[in-house]
Amino acid sequence: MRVELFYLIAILCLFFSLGAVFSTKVVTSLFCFLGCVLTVTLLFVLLQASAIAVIYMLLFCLLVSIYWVTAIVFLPKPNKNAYSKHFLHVGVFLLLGGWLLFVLLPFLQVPAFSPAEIDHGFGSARHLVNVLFGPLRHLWYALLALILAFLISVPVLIRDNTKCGDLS
Amino acid sequence: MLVWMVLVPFVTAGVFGTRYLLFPHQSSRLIPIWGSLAMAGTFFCAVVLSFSTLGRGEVLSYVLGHWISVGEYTFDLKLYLDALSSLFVIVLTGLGFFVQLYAWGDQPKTSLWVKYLAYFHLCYGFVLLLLTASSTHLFFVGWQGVSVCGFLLMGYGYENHEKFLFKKNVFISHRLGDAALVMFIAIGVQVFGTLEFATISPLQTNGVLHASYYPVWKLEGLALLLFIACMTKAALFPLYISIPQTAKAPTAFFVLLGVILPCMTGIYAISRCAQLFATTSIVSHIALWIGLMTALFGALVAIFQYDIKKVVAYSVITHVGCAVTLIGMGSYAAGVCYALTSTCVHVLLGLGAGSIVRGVHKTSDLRKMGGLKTRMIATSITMICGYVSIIGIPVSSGFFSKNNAFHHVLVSGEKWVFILFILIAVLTVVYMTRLMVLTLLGSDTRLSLEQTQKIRESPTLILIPLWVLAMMSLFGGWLVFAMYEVLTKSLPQFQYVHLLLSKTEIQLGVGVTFLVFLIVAMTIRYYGQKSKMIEKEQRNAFLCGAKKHWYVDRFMTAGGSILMRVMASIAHVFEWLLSKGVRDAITFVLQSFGYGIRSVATGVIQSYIFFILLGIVFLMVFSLRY
Amino acid sequence: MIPFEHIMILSAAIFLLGLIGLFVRKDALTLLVCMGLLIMAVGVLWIAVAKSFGEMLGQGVVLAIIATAFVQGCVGVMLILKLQVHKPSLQVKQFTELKG
Repeated sequence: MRVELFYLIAILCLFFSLGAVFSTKVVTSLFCFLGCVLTVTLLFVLLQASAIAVIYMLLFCLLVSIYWVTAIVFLPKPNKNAYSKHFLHVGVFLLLGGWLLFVLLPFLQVPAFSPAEIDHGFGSARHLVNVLFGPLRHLWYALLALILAFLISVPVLIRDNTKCGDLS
Repeated sequence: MLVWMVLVPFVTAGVFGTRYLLFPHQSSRLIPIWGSLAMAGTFFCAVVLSFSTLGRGEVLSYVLGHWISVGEYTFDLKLYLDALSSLFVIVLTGLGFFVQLYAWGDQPKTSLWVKYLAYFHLCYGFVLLLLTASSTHLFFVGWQGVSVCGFLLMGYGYENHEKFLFKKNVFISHRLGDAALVMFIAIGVQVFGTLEFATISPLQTNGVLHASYYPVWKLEGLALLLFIACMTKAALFPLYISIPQTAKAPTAFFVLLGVILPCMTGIYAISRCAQLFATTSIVSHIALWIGLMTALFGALVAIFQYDIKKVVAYSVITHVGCAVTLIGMGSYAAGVCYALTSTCVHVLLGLGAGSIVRGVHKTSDLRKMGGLKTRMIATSITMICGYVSIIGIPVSSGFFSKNNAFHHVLVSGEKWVFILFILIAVLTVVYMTRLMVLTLLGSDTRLSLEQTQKIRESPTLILIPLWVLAMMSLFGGWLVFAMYEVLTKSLPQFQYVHLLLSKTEIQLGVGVTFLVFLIVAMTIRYYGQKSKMIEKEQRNAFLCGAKKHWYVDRFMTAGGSILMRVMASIAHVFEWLLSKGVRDAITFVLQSFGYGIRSVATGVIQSYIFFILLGIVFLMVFSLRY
Repeated sequence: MIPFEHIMILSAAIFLLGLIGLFVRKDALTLLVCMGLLIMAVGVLWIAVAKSFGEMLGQGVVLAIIATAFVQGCVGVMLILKLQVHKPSLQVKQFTELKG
């Protein structure tokens, strides 16, 4: 259970970091960095460092906001509006993905070992029950929210004019 | 009391100097009285102090102050009186008193004299400091002070700065000695770890220098440096020109600078470090042969001099050379004894010469004197007493010290040294007799008419020192014995010779006396006959060389100027090197480095990050491996 | 339990990605992002150490690292702002005054 969760979070994290590093647009890069931050927060929670996770998420989201504002300030005039729009977008993303975590995390007390973590086989009904109602459910919900937010936001970004976000 | 003794001359000099500065145009009668009293006072102190040092064999020391105290090294300023230095101090103070009396009697009417008397006392004070110094750096203070005072005293009569060239020669040779002495001090500290003479070279009553602890070449080097320093002060070949140059100064200063100083400073320095010399073989041999050459040259030149004071000066050089020969052979006591005795007799001769010059109204040319024995009786008698002592006629003090010297040379087994020694003694007889004949004993045909009328005996003040010294030189043999006894206890001896009445001693004495009388007779016959001998001298070409001092001083001047030029060009090269050469070299090296390394600085941040990363990786690998 | 080696691999991968991004990208802001990635990877590793070896030191260190990273980001932004006074561009290649 835990291991699968870990693999999922890991893959998502790698995905986000790839995006952060290799995207041509700065906006997308910042966006993906935010995603990285949130996945790593989930990873911290999984590894039973919840307090650290909270602090981490708070600080790094703040950092990304600072980066974003800097980007807005330096963009050439016509693109400023686009960035402001996307700033809203990011705000939504943050709300959907991060806020959930922020609110739920105090309640996420991931136990060290739980008898319900016996592996029942991936894909089985018992497995799904464990995901939805088991002791790690909050973590699963948060992860789901993150994926959803990502899936909603990214096409919006990509659909936009390619000039947007190009600071070259 | 030791401190007072050393301080008094400085105080006197200070007083005289301030008086000169405040009242530059008054001459005073109080000044020489003060000076004589001061000198007498120092002599008195010296004698009193010597009761404990010579009599009971104690060592007096007085710490003036701490100079440097670093870690385990402490260097103090200490005055130190032991048997050897108290002997020298007694001789110095006594002779100094007599010279001061002479200066009092010979005082000219100018007020400039006060200034030079101040320099005189300053010089005297520096010599006292030198003699009582317990460590090499205080010794060096005295040494340098003596050089400076010599330079200052020589200026009398040359106030218009035109003829200062000879002073430059003297000064340069003295500086060479100073440089050697500084190196001696520095290397001495490095080798021995201390500046004290008591450690570097203790007298035999106070300790032994363990020569095997130190590398031989270092000891030899030290001894060589000290010997070079002595060469300049004690006027050894080839740097002896300073002494005849001092003959140009007034008599009192000439006696101080040219007669007393070579012995006091040069011979004292060597005898102080006698144990150091005793451990070296090469430098002793060098000393031996240089001393012999000096004596030979001095004697050969003295025969043909026309200036009375120069004859005395070259006589000093001869005798100092003999003393150094004895020291080089290893007979330290005999050498020192010989030097001290000859100093006393030469002071007599110098002061007598000054008296003669005074009497003949400022001519010091021998060709214009003669037959003074009837006109200046007291001076003649005292001069002849000195002459008798110098030649070595029995029962005079000079006889005993010369005989002792001969005995040491004979016993040492060096044949050539003995032969040369005899030759030098013969030459001494010759030139001394010549001097006496030409000035005192011969006919007075060379005197001009007005001189004949005006010749007067010198005043009593001048005659007192002459009489005292004459008596001492005739009847002072026992003093020589006493000196020798003291010295043999303090200085290292390689063959101890008992002075009194051994068979070889008597034989030697008799033989030498015979020779002496023979030579005297021959010389008197040669010179006393006709005045045409003088013209014959002048025509002889061989003698022309001797007259010009064998061109040694021209050689030295030329050598000195070449040395100056070489050093100037070296200094020029260094200056270029330091100002431009090094700078250009450094810029060239840095630029060539720069061209290579320049490509690293791209200005792009990421390359810098890359290099930082490389560094971190390297550090990690390094720390993990070790 | 989550094997420690796998977390280590993840951390290494993120670190490598951040490093490559640091050398490849031209924008100053992206450089800052990549540096944040580097620090993130190290934080993950420390938390894994804390979990796997029971060393609570790991969590403490991560706390410190996070604070440092945040401050670094702020300082980086401030530097960029100051640089903009001279040249209104975020391209790192345009700031080559140090070129020797």
